[in-house]
Amino acid sequence: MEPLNYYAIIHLTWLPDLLAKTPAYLDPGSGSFFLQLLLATLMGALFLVGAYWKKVKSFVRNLFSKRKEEQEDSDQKSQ
Amino acid sequence: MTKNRNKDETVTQKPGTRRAESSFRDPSGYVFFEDGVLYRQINQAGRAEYQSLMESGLYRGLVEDHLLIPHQEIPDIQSDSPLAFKILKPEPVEFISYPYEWSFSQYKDAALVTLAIQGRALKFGMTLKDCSAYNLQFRRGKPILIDTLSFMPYQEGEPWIAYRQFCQHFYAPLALMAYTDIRLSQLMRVYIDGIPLDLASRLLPRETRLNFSLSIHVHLHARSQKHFADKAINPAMMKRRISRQQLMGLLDSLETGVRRLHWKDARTEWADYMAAHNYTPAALEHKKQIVERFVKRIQPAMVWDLGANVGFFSRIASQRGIFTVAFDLDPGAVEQNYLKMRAEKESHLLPLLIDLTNPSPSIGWQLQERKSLLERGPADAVFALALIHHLAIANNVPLQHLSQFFRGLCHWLIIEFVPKDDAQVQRLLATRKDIFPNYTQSSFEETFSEDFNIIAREQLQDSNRVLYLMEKKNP
Repeated sequence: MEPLNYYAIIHLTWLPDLLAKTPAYLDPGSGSFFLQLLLATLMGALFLVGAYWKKVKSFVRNLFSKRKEEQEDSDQKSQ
Repeated sequence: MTKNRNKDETVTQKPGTRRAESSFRDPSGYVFFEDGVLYRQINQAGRAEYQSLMESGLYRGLVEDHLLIPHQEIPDIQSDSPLAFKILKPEPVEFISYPYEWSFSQYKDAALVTLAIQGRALKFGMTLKDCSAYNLQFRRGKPILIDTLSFMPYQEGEPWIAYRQFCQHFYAPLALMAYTDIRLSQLMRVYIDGIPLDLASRLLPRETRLNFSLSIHVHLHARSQKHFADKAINPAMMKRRISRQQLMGLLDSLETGVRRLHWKDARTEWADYMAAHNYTPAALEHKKQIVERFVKRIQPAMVWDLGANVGFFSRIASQRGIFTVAFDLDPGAVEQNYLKMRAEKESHLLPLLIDLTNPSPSIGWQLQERKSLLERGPADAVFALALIHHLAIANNVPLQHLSQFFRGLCHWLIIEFVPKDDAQVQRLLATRKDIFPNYTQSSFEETFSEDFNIIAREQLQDSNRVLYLMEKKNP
């Protein structure tokens, strides 16, 4: 995940507009709106778990690829 | 709608300008044509949204990654409307296509691009305020967002306002195509604001309730809509918030759901397209050479290949840098054509699904929001290769009607006459009475000569088929 663009968020010349009421024209639909609210905790939790799972996977993958590299290195040295 | 309409009534228009009929919902701005060139007006109401898009760096990032249509600000064109803030000139899209004309993978790619744009927008403190599939178009072989005004500043805690629209415009149609029947993309022709989720929920097979993403975003979503439809809204509920991380979770879940949808039949049932024709290799090569010669001679700016199959002949034009739309009625052929185009990064080809016996009609508000196929023409040149017998014999269209149809579509016509003794025509006639005494080469030439000048005529090797190059007569 890329870091947030804080520069963009902090240096706002349009901050007053940002704080104004959302200028949306679309009706989100009450059922769709509340479904998101109801699911929020679950979605947030799944997202966190997913993010950590990816980290664990890449950690394990790195571990193995490092071992492989070390193995290859030692193989080359022994040759 | 009433509210928007009142606002619109104060917009005056200069003579010579024409507002695009589909552009009326969003008070932030609209699209218009002046001397055939497309412009987008940003209204004062859309000023903050536009400035935040430009100043946050989101615009630059999206344009660099070919996710959003680039535009120029045009200070020379002054709107006489007091509502106007700025006029933009977006880069043109060669051909406007609609979701019901996309193959499965085209549709899926458009959905994934939409989610990628929303994910990117959140990082820049913005969010998509709508999620219409019609805002995505294919340009240089890839889906791209064409609505510069689809963004608004994101306020921490707000749910995604376009969630319903994403599910109706993208997720539900794709799920129906993947799990129920590929042809259900045509429901988008009936429901202009996306497939109602209760309908999608009913049409999806029962086992999709065990699929986590579908059970939430379609089945539960439909029930939630039904549940809240006639409920008074509790103000305490409106105060509840969804954090940025939770919102990212929602997007992640949608993306996983879309990525896991596959059209299983695409590679099996429809595998043998090019093998299904009945040319000898020499005849096929000869046909290719003739079409190449014709194309070289006329140098068209744009080609529509009607009945393009997997785009074998379309590529004669597209590989010369001529923008070519390859239409076919078979979802499998269009899918294969698109997958090949995507794999080979071809940028001048657009495969689309069209049934010529019932092409896309004009739909929407006052039947003007989405244009019919014919309104999106004419093309410079039309290819009608191994097509005419399907229209004249399988669909009983008289030759005169065919000639008039092509006359309305193009200036140049490259057409193949498939005579009655051809095996393919015999196959069409095998189970029915031959009621086509006029379906002969001489009658074909005579009839088409009313609308076209026959420029060249070449007999195909090892075959009775004849290829023609024709030019439309002046009215």
